Amino acid sequence: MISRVDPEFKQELHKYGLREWNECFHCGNCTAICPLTKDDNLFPRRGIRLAQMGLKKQLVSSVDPWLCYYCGECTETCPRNANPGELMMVLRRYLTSCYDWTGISRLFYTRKIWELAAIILIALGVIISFLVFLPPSPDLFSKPQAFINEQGGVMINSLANGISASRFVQLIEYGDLLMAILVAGFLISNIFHMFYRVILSDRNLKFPFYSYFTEFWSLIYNFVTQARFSKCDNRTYWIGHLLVMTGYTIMFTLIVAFLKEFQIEEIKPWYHWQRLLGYYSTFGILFFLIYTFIGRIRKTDLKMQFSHPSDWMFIVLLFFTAVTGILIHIFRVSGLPAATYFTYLIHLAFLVPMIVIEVPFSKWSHLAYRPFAVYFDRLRRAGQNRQSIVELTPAI
Amino acid sequence: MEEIRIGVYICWCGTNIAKNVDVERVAAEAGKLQGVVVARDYKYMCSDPGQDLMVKDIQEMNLNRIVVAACSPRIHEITFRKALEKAGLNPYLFQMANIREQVSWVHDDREKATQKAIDLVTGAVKRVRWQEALNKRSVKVNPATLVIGGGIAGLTAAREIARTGRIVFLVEKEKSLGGMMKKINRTFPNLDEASKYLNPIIEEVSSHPHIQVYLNSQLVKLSGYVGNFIGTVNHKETQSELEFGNIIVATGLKPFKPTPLSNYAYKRLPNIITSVEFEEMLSKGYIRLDSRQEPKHVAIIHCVGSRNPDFLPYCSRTCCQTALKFANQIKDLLPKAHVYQIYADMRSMSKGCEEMYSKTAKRGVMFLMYDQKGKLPYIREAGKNEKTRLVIEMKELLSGEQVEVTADLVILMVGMEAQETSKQLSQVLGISRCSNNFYIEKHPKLDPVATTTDGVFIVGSCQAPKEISDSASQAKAAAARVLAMINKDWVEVEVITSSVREEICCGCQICVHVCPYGAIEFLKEKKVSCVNEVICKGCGTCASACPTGAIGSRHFTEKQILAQIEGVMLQLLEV
Amino acid sequence: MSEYDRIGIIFCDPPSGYTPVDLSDLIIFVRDNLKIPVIIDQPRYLFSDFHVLMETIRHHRLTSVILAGIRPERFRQIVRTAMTKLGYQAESVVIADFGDTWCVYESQVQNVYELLERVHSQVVDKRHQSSHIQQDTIVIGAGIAGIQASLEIANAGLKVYLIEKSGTIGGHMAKFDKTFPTLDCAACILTPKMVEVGQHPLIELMTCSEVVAVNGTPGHYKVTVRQSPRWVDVKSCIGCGTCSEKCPVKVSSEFDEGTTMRKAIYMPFPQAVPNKYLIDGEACRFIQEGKCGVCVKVCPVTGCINLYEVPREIEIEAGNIIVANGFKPFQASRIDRFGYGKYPNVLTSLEFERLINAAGPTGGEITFRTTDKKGNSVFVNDSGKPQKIGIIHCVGSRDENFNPYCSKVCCMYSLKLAHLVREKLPSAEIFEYFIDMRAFGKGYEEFYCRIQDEGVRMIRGKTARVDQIDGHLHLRTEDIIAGRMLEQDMDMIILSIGLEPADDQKKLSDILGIDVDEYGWFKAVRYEIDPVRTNRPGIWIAGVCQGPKDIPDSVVQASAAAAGVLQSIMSDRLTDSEVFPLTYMIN
Repeated sequence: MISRVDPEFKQELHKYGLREWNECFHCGNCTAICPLTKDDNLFPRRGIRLAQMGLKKQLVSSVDPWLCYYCGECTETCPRNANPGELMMVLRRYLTSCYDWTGISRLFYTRKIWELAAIILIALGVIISFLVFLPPSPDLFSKPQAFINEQGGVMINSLANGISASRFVQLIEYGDLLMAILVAGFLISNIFHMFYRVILSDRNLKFPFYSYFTEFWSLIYNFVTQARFSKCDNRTYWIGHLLVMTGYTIMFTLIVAFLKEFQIEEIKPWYHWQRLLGYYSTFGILFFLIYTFIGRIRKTDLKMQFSHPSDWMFIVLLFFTAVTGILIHIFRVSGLPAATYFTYLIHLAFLVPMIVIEVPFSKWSHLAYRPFAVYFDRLRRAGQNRQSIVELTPAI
Repeated sequence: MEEIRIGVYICWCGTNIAKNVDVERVAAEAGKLQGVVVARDYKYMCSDPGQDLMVKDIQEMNLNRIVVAACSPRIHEITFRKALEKAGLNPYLFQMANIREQVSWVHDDREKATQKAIDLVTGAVKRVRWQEALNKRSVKVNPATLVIGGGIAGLTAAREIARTGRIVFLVEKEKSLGGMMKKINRTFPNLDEASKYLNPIIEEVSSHPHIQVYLNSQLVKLSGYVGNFIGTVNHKETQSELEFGNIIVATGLKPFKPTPLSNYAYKRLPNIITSVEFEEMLSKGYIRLDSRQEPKHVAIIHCVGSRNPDFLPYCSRTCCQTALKFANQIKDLLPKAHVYQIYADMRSMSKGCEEMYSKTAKRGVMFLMYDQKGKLPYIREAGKNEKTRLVIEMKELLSGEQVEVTADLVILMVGMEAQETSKQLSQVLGISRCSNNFYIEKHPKLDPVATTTDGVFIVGSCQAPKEISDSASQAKAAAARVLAMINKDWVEVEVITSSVREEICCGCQICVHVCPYGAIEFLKEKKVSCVNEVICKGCGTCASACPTGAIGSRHFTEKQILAQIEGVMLQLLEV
Repeated sequence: MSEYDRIGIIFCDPPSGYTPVDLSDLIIFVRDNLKIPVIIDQPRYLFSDFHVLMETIRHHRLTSVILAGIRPERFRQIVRTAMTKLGYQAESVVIADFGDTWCVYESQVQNVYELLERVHSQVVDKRHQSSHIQQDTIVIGAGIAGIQASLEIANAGLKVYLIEKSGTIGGHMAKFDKTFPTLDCAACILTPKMVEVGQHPLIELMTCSEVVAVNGTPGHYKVTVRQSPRWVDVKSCIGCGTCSEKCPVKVSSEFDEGTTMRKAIYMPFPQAVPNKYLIDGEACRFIQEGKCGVCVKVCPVTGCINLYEVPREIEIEAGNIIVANGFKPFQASRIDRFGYGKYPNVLTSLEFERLINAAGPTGGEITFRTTDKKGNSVFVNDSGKPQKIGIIHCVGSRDENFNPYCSKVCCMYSLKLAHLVREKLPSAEIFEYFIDMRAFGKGYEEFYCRIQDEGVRMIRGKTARVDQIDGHLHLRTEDIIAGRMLEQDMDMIILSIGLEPADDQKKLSDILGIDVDEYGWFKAVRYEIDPVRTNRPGIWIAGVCQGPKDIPDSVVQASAAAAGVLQSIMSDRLTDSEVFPLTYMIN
């Protein structure tokens, strides 16, 4: 089936925050200036072309937008001011909504109010269920000393009324697990959808089955190191990105998988692994937040000049999660049980929507899509390697 | 008889000649020839110091014959003749040997090339000995001018000359003035109404007291020479004879008919029109399909016929920019319509047109590049359930994808080709045409509006496709030439002409028939031929055809030619 | 200016519904800056009584009237009738329409000033049409366009002053090796014309000269030309070159685009016209420091070199002025990604044009460039031959970051350069990196096909960066048609630089009072059908100064400008009522 060009596709992309871009006259400067392009990875130009022509099928099967880390050099040097870097950003949003089979992502991106509503709804849900199932102990205000342990810190798991510490942790853990299953379920199914679109639906693609395993290391490697990112010229941005990614992942792992070891009554000395990891994550997240806040407000960096509401949403949620997390820590160490309880409550009210909404349906999903994109790209490449390497056509 | 003192000058032409010819050896060999007083070589003989060198030698060494071995005489014969004149020598005591086009550019073997150069120089030296002084002649210029073609170029030229109070005859083969520009709705890049520019000129020309307009007319016969032409203009059944000093040819071009390109289905499927037909539609102020509906998808296909070795191998220059103009006009009239530009190379190089290109892109026009050297786009009818009637299949080069484009209306940007009448007119005027049937200018850079026939100028698109402003420029450029000639009031004419020795002439009249310029007349009472030396160009055709040798060409006498042949063959004879 | 010519301005009453505004600032401006002698401010009943109007005009002895204000068109008919009754032409009434916004927005004041200035200069210009047009013509710039225009006019038997800034005529074309698409040698075409200019009895060639002021009116311009000293007398110099031989100062040669060195006393190039030496005042040790003076001592002609020569100013009266000051090549170092100035074998097209020229630094051999001990870039004769040469199109053109316009000539000259390389280095690999191949003129497409047949590789895709890695120039380009990234090592890179308005363009536009467009190119009033006519009668533009164009088009334009000049002289009138209308409005 031969594809049809679709001039109306650009209206669709406008919903994802698209601005000026059609001026592109295909000089190829953007592709060539990008330090990440190689062989037949022809982004951003090919992406622009497919978008201009409205070739949706080709767009969805392409992983190119994920391979771009938006250093902004293409946009800076574009002879037509066609803003190729921004288009890659828009395409990532578009792809995120394409991978999401539930349609929620699309709803969130294209109709901004829905995302906000969902976040508020979940936050309220968290607060209400917390107050219902884990209500504050009336003694919090009258007998605050009852909640202080021998180290002078707040016993965080004993603040709820009539619920034992172990039960408290268990309930939170159930909540965590429920959240993790939900998120993982959506995310994994989305990744499978991506896999279907990128790899399975391409009939012409042939590569040896063992490549699935041999190329798998690239997935892990890229996830952990964000190595591709480091090739971009701006190293600070890479460091920031690496810090926030590792910090976030560590925190996520700690609270989901190791909550029992992590959320304990005892306050460990500052050099304890668990506190060090916590500090690291906090530092990483804050570093990134401050960097992006400054960037987005000043708009000095090209890549931060146009912010989609979804970009802000994510940053704001992360910010409040981090700040409340730090406050819990401070209140705990300072022995303020009531403050600790309510800050904990607010913390969860930010944390849960951030994870439930942002990870599978919005900006944060790129955490998973990017390394998988590299993985799928390598798989495709494994197929091509078997074909003869295309040489420059010899002179006539 | 005076002593023959010859000076020989060998030009390096930078490295053009020097790389394949040992010019120093040529000079040394030439120095040994009989009568040669001095032989030198120099980097650029045509330059000021090169000419000065020659002038100084003539004056100091009393040279009376000069040979220059350099490029083609077509380029510099006049330059060197002028130098001789400056030195006080008759300019016809000069001979050129072409050792660039005939030697260094065509031979690689330096040794043999040098020998050939020596042979050619020897021939020239032998010949120049027999050359005679000829005297320049000039004729008065008739201030009236004939302009052929009433398009923008012809109108501009006519107006420019008439404004100085000189008579202009404007001959137009159609029934009204305006030509191709009249069919154009708006001009690029500013989308001004073309009539805003054209109408005032038409008005001025048709009402100008000094311009005589002949509509529905054609020039059928021409005699005379620069400054003094006599032409016959056919006007329906009547004929008028006009006298004028110069001719400006501005016959323009005609659009290519895309029927032979079957892939574009022109006239086979509905709603496929040419750019010219679309201009007409725009002039009426609407864009409609056969069904009177407004199109929702309009595709514009570039290079139809142009840049295609089977049809028009050249670029028609204006179509890309016109296509961009169309896209804007469509967007103005039908803001919701989708416009596709199916192009090969976007040649929007004229002033303001690159900007028009980017503006067009900003307005959401889709640009698709087709493989102009490979398979061309193919237009087919869409299926029953489709939203549009037409589908264009093409390989899109910028994405590498095979795609289909839906369209209600397809505009074919047809190339532009020479007028059908160009051959007939070129014969009347005695000017030549290139392989694409456009008229050939005297020199593309030195003299882009003149032709090899003095007093005949070509302007506008009859020389090659060009846009309005360039046509107007050319028209004015030719007007400048004509005005200069009128202002000076006289013009020099060829002195190398034929002459008849009446005592030998047998009156066979072969010469009368072979003369391409109509310069030979048969005198009935004397029963001999007679050459009109003002018309004669000295081509020598008559001399070679004459069975009795009665006609001789000045500057190309038998003696001179035989001496040259002897010189060229000298080497062979000696061996 | 005749004392009987008097301009009057009438600020008409605003139409009903508009509040009268305070015109005092405007009146001061008109009186002091424009020096209009008669100013009538909101005359209430002037237009309602024809006799009063006639009397007023007669009383003030007005010969031209400017009607200014909001919709002054209302009163044109009556004033025109009055003027014609008094024996003046209908054109003596000119409208300056402020538009409806004038009384509302004070921000319009500047626009109104400009409008009045425009109208006033128009009226002044027009008034001088009555007297005969001065026959002499000034041509500014002696490149191919200026040369052609001068010859065209001089061959009509009219006097031309050809003003050239540098020491020789010829312009950029003199630097080229060959010309596309016919591959004629540029010098072969140009030098005869240069010689003709130099020898023409009706062309007065003024080198080292610049126009510094233009006064007077159309048809009677008084042009002040500043002639910088050459320090060498053109008449007595015999061009022997002894001075240059002995001169101790070496600087890089402009003519060779800095690829060779020349002395402080020098001949721009061997075929220069006038073929005489001149001194570069900035390099000469005597002129800068008062030491040296060797040239004077060795010169065989006494009094030929005068190191104490000073600039002179000459006033020339001319009826017409043709501006053909050409262009400035784009400065390649502005795009640092291409490494020009950093890597010696990244050349501009103009440098390469010199390198490949038979009269260039290596006598036409393509060799490598290195930096010598003194830090000068030099081409070394036995440094081997580059085997891979890349030509990057659109450097500085078609780029919003530099010049958004197309420079029109680069595609074709790049193809020509490829051909010249192919001719000299048959085994070299040559690559052209382009966006759209603009081979539009007569024979150009055929030339493009020919170059392809010669095995030059055409790559659609603009190179984004050039880095020097291990002595090779490393290119990153997207080969769009093949659908892959190209990373290639080249020996030499040629940057096809675009064209920009000349440095003196802005100054000239101010001096001459002619408009420039957004990029600084001169603007024609009606580009579509008359690309050589400017907003000032009697001032014409030709060649690249109006926008990039190739040699044939420049030559044609030069002739077209000459047509304007010849026409005005032969018909003894300058203006064209379509171009210079009787109603002016705020832009």
